[in-house]
Amino acid sequence: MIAALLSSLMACAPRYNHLPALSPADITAPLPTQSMVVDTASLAGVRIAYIDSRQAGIQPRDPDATPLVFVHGLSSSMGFWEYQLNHLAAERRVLALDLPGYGASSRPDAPYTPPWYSEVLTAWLDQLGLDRVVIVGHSMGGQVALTFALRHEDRVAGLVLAAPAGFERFSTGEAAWMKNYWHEERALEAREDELRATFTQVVFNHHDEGVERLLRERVQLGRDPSFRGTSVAVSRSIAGMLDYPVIDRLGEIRAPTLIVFGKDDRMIPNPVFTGGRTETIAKIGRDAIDGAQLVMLPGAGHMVQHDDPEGFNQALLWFLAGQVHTARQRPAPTGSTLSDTFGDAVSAAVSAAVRDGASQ
Amino acid sequence: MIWGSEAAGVAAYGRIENSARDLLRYRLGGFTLIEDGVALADDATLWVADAELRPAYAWDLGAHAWWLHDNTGGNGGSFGSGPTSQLSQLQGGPRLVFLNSSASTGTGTATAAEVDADLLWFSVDAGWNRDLDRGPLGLRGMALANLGRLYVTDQPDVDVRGWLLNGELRWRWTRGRGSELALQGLASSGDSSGSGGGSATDDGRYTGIVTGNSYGIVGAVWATHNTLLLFPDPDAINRQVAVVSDVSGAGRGLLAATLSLGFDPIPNRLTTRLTAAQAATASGQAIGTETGAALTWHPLPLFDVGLHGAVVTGARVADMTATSPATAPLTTLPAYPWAVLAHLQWVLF
Repeated sequence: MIAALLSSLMACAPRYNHLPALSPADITAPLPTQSMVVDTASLAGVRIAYIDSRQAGIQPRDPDATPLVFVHGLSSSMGFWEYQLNHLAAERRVLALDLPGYGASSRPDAPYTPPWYSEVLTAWLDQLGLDRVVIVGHSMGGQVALTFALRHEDRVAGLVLAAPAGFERFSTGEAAWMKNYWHEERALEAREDELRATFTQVVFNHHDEGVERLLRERVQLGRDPSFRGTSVAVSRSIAGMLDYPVIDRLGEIRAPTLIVFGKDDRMIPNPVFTGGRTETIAKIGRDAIDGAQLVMLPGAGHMVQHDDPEGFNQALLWFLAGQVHTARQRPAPTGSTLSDTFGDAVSAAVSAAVRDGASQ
Repeated sequence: MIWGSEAAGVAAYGRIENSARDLLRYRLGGFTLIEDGVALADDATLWVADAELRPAYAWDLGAHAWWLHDNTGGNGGSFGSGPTSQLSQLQGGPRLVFLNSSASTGTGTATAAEVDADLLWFSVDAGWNRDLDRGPLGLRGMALANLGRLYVTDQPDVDVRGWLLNGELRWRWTRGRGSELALQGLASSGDSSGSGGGSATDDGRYTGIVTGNSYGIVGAVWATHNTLLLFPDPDAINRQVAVVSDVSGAGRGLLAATLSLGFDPIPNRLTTRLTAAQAATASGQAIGTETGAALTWHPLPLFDVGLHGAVVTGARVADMTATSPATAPLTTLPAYPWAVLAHLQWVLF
């Protein structure tokens, strides 16, 4: 403890507030970014930035496998999947998009609700000619993925929910409080120290160069005029998740589903309104979704795919190999949890990796 | 500013900020603590200058200068004012006694002399992650010098030269707001110069500290110790039951250490805590030891229900009715003072 204290005291947090504003077009992306303007009746003119491993020229081991589509969470971007996209692109075609309001996509005056994002996904997939995909959604992206699966059951070959929103129930008063707090200027008001505290103490459990880069980009993006649109999107996205809950419809999900949580997620359950342990919330989702599998990754937090990329990617590949290829041919054990078996194996592998890393 | 007196005044607050944080916050203010005769210069006024600097992420530094100008002669308010007042006696402050000689009064009976004062408090403090929102470890510390002079009618002035140190280490060792280990220490100077039978001020100096408790009810509460009986519980409305109510240690000075270990069996919903604390005078005379436990349920935001229990052993307190309370022998309290407290706290705004 003393060593940790001294180390923390001596560490000097980098400062980014002197850096120039960053345009959304210049955000770092794991693969070359493409762009399209969707052209539907309700979404005409919305520009979507995305990456597609096929368009990037990456040849996967199984080019015929169902493509993987990654949907980021609140106030994030494609870059938050940096430890997944290149790795999994070697296996099969992967795609990721910046949801409108975030990243390099446009910031229209839109509802930014999960149903609206579901429409965006539909239009984007249509335009790409993709009929059936496996959707991987993180946090808010998980609720968007659930909403999409409820609306387009036939287009979802599998669901991977990484620390998904949507498994908690909030009262009317709690929802009102959250909406009031996250007004449309709130994200604009956040200062660098607050962002650093949120990134390092709430969102991520493992602090590495990737987190530092994402934080630097967030600080610089906050200085760009376009960030006003992001602030609006954050506010409306939160209101949308509260106004369009999925918790009572989880039993209608028919797609094979994998749920992955970090055991030390500090955002789920909501520490103010819900409290308790992440596993409690995770099991609510697992028990409600027929045949869903649950992996709890020790030591990982809300950004589970970043905190424990090896564990997350192993779980995802295991799921793809055992579930999606045989979609519904092999019944999943009802109400099972993998945390006693697979999760422990992942945990052991990660512990070994951490040990190795520490000894180097 | 809450002094529990008739304090009224004006303060200016300001800050200098950038896009990372508030770099500097400050307050300048003046308050009348006690207003006796409206047209008379018999008041106690307090002037404050506070600055808080945040030079880097997780760090904060503070500097404070307060000046109390007391013209009340010790007669302000219902209980008197200043270090000679009954307020000091009630609040566990340093009750100093200055008597007029019987010859000077012409009555053959010694009466209390009038005492005015100029008191200065200078302090600096430093904190690193003091709110535990930047990591699991937090530190803070404070050093204070209490200087000044007491002006006693027809007697030599008495210089005040006291000091206080406080330090705290916190460690959130596992998940949950209440899962915290906290170690805290406090030391304040005392004055034992009159312990042979005289008064603490016979040598023309008082080397303990004078706190705001001498000028208002519970104006100087140590709030982060987690004890129930040894020190005043900041959540309890009636704080008069503490063994040590004032950080001056009733003039004897104080050496205190507290250790508390909390754990949230249900993170952010249910908190359990064990506390141990010990206090002694600056000269090392034991004042008491407390052991306690608490169980707190947080069913709603800003709403707590708790059950606390504590027992103090070896408690000895100053006899405030003695001729010179600041130097009188410590009196032993009942063998095992204990308390069980249920609390409900609902912050409404």
